[in-house]
Amino acid sequence: MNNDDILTIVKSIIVKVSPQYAAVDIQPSDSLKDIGLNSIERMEITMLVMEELDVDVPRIELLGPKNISELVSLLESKLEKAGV
Amino acid sequence: MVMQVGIEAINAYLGAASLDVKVLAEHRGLDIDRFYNNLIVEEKSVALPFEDPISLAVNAAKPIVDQLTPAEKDSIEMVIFASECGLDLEKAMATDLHHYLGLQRNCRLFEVKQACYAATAGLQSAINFVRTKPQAKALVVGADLYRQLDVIRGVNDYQEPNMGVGSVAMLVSCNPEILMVDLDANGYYGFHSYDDLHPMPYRHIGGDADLSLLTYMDCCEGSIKHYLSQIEGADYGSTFDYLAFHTPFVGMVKGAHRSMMRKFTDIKADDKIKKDFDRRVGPATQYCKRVGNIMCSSLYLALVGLVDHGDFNKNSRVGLYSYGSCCASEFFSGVIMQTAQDKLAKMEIKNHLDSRYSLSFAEYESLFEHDKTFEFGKNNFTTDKGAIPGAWEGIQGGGRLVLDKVDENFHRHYIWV
Repeated sequence: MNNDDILTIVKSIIVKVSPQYAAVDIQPSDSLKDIGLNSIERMEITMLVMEELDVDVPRIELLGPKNISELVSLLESKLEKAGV
Repeated sequence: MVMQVGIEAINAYLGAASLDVKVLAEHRGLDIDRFYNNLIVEEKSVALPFEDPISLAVNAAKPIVDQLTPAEKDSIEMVIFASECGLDLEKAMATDLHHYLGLQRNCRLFEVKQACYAATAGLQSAINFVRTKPQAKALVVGADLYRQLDVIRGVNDYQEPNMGVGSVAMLVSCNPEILMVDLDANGYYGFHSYDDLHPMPYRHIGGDADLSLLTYMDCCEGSIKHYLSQIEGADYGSTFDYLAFHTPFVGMVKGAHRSMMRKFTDIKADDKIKKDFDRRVGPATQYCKRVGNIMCSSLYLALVGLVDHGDFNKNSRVGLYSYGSCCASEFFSGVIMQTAQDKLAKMEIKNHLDSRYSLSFAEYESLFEHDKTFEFGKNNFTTDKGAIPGAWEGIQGGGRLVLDKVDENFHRHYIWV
């Protein structure tokens, strides 16, 4: 699974959690917070992305990324480590 | 016969005033649908100037103690007070509680702090105490309240509707008519973090909402995993008839339950998970969504809600998840007894919730000036009983304890009303 695949999954989960984002052109440089998602929505997105990708890491490790692009890179590195 | 240990009696005291979150949403220009669907909150209890952790705790515990015979009352040999709203760095609030309940003096008295986990630390200590001394009873009381200082400082948005006032008291003994705990069935998980701090009273400075939500989730998974690794044959999806969670707000519990279902069971579809939530977790959310987060008592308010709203024609197993920021957590279990519902009904918790004085928004905001005065180490003041006249009138004749004044020697004076 490459960066683009993960980005597509992240975007689809954002829309699933908050459907109003279907009409928003979300960019990799955007942060979840800056585009207006509150902390509960961000928590849901993080959890659903982990479940979708089946990565088993402490959730708090996913707090570091400052934007969607960094989140995708981190997830990719976790998947690589897990040999997926 | 196998030793039975657990909660003999339980009661909750949830303050004298409340605010409907619809009123809050209207005045703050916030989306009420988000409150109802995302956070899942309906009302919150609001602290009045004459309420403090000691008065709340006494008001929760007294109806339990009043039902005991003199001999039973004298068998209370331990009082544990759990709180993150301590009033003195030396004196434990357990000593005040012991005094106002009129308990005998051969009694261990102490206070416990570990954020919202503290009451569970107290409960586990009490369980271990009565295991070694089966003729004795122990009283564990959690009490916390929120004053709106974060709101005044403008650092609060979606936290404002969540923070409440309340106390839950539990009598622990070898006659567990409410909850018989599964002895030695405990999973725990903790580590150092800075997800929520109280360096000063009533100020959640340094709190990091994202970190706290995810730490809660990590601990939930970690403590359940630890529990399942120790109890042969235990299964998250089928062992527990009901589940009760520490409830900062019900939406968070819903998220945690969904995440744990996907982690520990084969049920992955949203509609099936929702159905499981409504059946196994729903009853435990009924009171929490009307009170807000009462910190270390929140899990036990969930338990009270479950006992009042669940179906107990047979003894039913419940899994309980306790979480305290920064952080410590525990997943444990027990059996809610068939006697529990009738016994708790005498406490009339729903009537108590319905009888709280419902604040207007102007009344709610008028309390902020009082909230500002609650500094740590403050003395020489008398509390304003008439700040909300309707709330003061509403508790007259109810036999409740209220804070009257703190004198120049920092002695706290209470009165019964």
